[in-house]
Amino acid sequence: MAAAKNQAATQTNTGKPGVKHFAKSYGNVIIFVAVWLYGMLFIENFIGIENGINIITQGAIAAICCLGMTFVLMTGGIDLSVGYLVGFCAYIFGYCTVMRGMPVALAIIITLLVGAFFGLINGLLVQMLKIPAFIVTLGSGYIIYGIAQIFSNGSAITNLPPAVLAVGRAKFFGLSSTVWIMLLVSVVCFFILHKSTYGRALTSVGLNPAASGLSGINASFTTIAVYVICGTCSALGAVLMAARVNNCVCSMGGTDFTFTVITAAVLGGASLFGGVGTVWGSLLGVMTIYTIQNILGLLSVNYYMYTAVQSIIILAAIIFENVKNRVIQ
Amino acid sequence: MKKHMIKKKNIYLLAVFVVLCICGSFIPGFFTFNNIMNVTRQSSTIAICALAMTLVLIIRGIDLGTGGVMAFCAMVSGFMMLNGVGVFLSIVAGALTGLVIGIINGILVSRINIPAFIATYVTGQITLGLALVVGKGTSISGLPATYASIGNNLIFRVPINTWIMLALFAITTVILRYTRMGKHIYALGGSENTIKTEGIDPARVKIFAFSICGLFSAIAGILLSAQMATVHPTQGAAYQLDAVAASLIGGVSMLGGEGQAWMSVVGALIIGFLRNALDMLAIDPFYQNLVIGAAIIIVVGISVYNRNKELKSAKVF
Amino acid sequence: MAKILEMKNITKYIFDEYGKKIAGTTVKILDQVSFDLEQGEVHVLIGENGAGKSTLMKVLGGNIPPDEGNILLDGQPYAVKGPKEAREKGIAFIHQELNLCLNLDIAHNIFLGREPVRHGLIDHKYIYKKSREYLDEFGFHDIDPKTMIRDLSTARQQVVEIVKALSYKSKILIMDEPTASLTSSEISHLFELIHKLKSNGVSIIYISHRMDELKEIGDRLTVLRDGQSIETISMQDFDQDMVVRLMVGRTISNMYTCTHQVSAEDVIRVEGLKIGPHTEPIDIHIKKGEIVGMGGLVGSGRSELARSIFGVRPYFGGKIIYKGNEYANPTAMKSIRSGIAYLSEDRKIDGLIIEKDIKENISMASIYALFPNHVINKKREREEASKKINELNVICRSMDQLVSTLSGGNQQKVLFAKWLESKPDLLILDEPTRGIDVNAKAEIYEIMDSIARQGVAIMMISSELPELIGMSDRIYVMKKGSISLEIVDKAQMTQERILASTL
Repeated sequence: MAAAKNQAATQTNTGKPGVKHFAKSYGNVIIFVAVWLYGMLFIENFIGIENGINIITQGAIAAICCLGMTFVLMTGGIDLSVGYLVGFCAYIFGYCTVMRGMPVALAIIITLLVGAFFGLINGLLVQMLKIPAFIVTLGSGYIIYGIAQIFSNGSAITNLPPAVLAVGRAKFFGLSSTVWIMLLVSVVCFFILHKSTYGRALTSVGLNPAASGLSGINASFTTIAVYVICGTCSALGAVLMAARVNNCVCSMGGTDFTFTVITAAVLGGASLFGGVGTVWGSLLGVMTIYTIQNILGLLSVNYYMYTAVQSIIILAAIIFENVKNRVIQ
Repeated sequence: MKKHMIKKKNIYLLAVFVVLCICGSFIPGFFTFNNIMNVTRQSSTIAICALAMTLVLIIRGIDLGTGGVMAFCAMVSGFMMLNGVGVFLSIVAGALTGLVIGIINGILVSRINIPAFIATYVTGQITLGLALVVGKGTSISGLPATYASIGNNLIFRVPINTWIMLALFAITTVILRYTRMGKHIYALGGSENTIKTEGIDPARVKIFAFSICGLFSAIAGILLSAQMATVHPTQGAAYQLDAVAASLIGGVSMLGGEGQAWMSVVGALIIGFLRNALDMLAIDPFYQNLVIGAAIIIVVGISVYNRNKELKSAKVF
Repeated sequence: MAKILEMKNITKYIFDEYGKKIAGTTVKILDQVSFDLEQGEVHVLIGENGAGKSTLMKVLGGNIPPDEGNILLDGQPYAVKGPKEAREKGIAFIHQELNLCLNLDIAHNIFLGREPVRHGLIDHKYIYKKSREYLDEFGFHDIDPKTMIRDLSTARQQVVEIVKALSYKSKILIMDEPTASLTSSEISHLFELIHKLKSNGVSIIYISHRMDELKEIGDRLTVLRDGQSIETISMQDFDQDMVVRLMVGRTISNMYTCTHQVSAEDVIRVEGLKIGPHTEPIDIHIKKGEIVGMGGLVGSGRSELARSIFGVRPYFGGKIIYKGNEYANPTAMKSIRSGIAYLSEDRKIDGLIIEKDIKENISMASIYALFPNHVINKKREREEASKKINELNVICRSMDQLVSTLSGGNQQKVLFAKWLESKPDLLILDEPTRGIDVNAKAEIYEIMDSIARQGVAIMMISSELPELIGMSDRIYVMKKGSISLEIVDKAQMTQERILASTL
């Protein structure tokens, strides 16, 4: 028995926290702090409550969609249709309120249902037919975009009802309503992901679907649900986006937005291979991206640098993660 | 048994073609020489991208960055031409840029083990971003007349584009059928383990496939911009999906190991004729994306379903 | 006859996926094994599952390096870095799972990785001509080298693999259970081929469990047991009973505890269950507080039976009666809720989530029972986990430690803890002590005994005969998807009897 104990003791050494452990768990914090430090030291007008709030407000809508994406990434899937869905849902929202004159609440519910519906389709195709998620969502993204264009005939809807605009512009304690909604969504997502049995099942399915299935976890339900959550979050983001810019057109969002959302989640520590991801990490990831955009803005760098810089950052993050995992193993 | 399946596949392609022909005969002006040449010219760009995709799909990869590469490499060529570099040299430089991006993709996939769809998606975004940077957000125009003539002149009444496509088609066919690398590409798609035991380095094969893919995408991008005599930073966006769709519709399997160059060309022609027919019928162009998006899901869905059925029947005790 | 190969005192410790010895381990898979091969003979290698046959052959085939010992090939020292080099030196390994590209034709498979080139292009004429010659050489005039591998039957695929191996001028051919998936006429074809190879001077190492065919083709036979070479006999002296005795000569130690009492009440009755469309129906029953052993070879259908009962695999007729009621359309969720637990064979593949910590693994199969309102109560989870950790003596720093950092024995205990947490009435164990050291094994046996004492019915699938006999109150032996033997009386449980009915 003593021998067994000794053996166990030697084997446990590898699990001790250390620099590596910190880098593995808090890589997202390191990047965030580095970006902020850079901003504070070298950029004029970066420090200041106003600019901070500005960054948060800019990132709030992406943050909501990013939380939805985090759920999908946790299962090892990906949703490339988010951007197009945002555009379509924004138009639906405008259509319901302006063209149909529906009450705002009803319009919001319809928009969310549309988002959830397309999420459900994605989820069913991924889980039931076992088609790779990136193919399903690549295809469905184009389908959604096509439907949106046919439906809207390429036109935009402006002049949203004053109630919508008022809510969009309202501020409480110095923060805009969008930010408050983002915080509310974060709390809900935090609860689902980290405090509920569903979140637990989700992590299990993402890490090891076979073991989860044997443990009585319904992998089909879990997987389909994440796409529904992602679709709903996208729809909510769309409503807020429409309210903010007082414009509903199906080219809002698009692939650039999808890319921002995925980048943010990955920067926040979500693994593209599933199982790993946190709500606070994804929020941090979004804020990192928008801080970088803010810095580029303050440096008056050409707007067209954004895509390039952002994508180089995500590539670096992915390479970092893969190499890091190999080194730690 | 498998022979029957391949025949079945060919019958399906034939059926699609017959349907297209029948539909086409109802459209006035569809079966004129000029229209057909027009379609082949448009399809050529898709076909070149799809040929590029073929190699990558056979090794169970995919390239979701075609659009960015097409734009960026054409930008590089265009930028050089505007700065007084010779047309030929500029084109070579643009094509080599594509090759380098392809090699980077190959390294990311094989050495750093990033899934192909992520690696190419990200490099696609990077190249798109760089194209925007080079073009300062708008298109470059005022390119030399020799350049434009490559995209528009005819040789024996057939567009140069189409000749180049045919040349690349021949090259791809030769690579896949008659070279060692080609056979290793199929072998890698069939069983990575087997080629490892034969002492072939899978990473080399992957890097080769991705580099050819990058090169062809770049050529497609350059030809596209030559056709219009301008380079637009988002000119590749429309071809992204078409390239994947053309290969898959033509019969290249997303599950790896299956597919030939002609399939991608046929797939590209089908898409080209489809788009042309819909245009001539004055159907809303928005429907085209919808149809092609759905086609991808359906084609992949069928092949995945068939494979799962095979696996299930093999698993029975 | 000349000795073409000599392997002397080969030792191999338990290794990781790269074939490297795991640091600090003392578990040996091969222990001072010696083996030799004469030119033109068929040397049979036999032993139970886990006796070390495949490891020995992997060492020879260059897949993994030996830790100790040396190998002489034709009197020269032999050390290779990989299967390719081994084959160049004349040793070819025909794996049970064939190593061919299904999407290439025969000729391209034979020449894969060494295609002859003319003017930069593959010389197709040459490879088809050569392949034709190779096939003709062994009398396969009817196989066209242009046929795709996937269009061939398994037997024909095997032929291609053999022809490919011989095209490398192989002197030694290792065949791992080549007849496992062949029909009887295909087997006789294979044997003809083997005789032909022998007369050409090729030596063959032949791994098989099928006693009846060994006598027909073997020249000598070596028995491996527990990583040691036990005896080499000439086939003239072959006697099935003696070989079985050699294979099972393990002593049954006193590490098995038995303090539980079997009740009369059946927990589960399986009536006429067919696990495959063409298998015989299975009837088994397990009583409260009883440990029922399931013997048989790997692939005899034991895990399939367990998975069918647990509801993660379909079955083809028959019914399951659980606690007196028919238990229809089982699913994992339903089974867990009604008190059936299944500890799978490979804890790392579908047992535990090794990237998660201990406490989350323990609560994993019972999250819905522990947290009925779907809110994770961390305090409750920690209490339950610490209770189980103490109960099963899991040695760890804390319950927040990742399972991947635990030793094999402790991982297995966490797996037990996970399933005991679901409070089962029927516990199905699939190889409960695989790959763990002796001390941990003894502890697991104690745990099993105490579970049975609490009135849980246990079905234990095991390939280790001493364990099967030591722990079981009753034993079923499975063969080809059905029950071939039931031993009720403890005194009748002998290793020979069980092994003979598995083969």
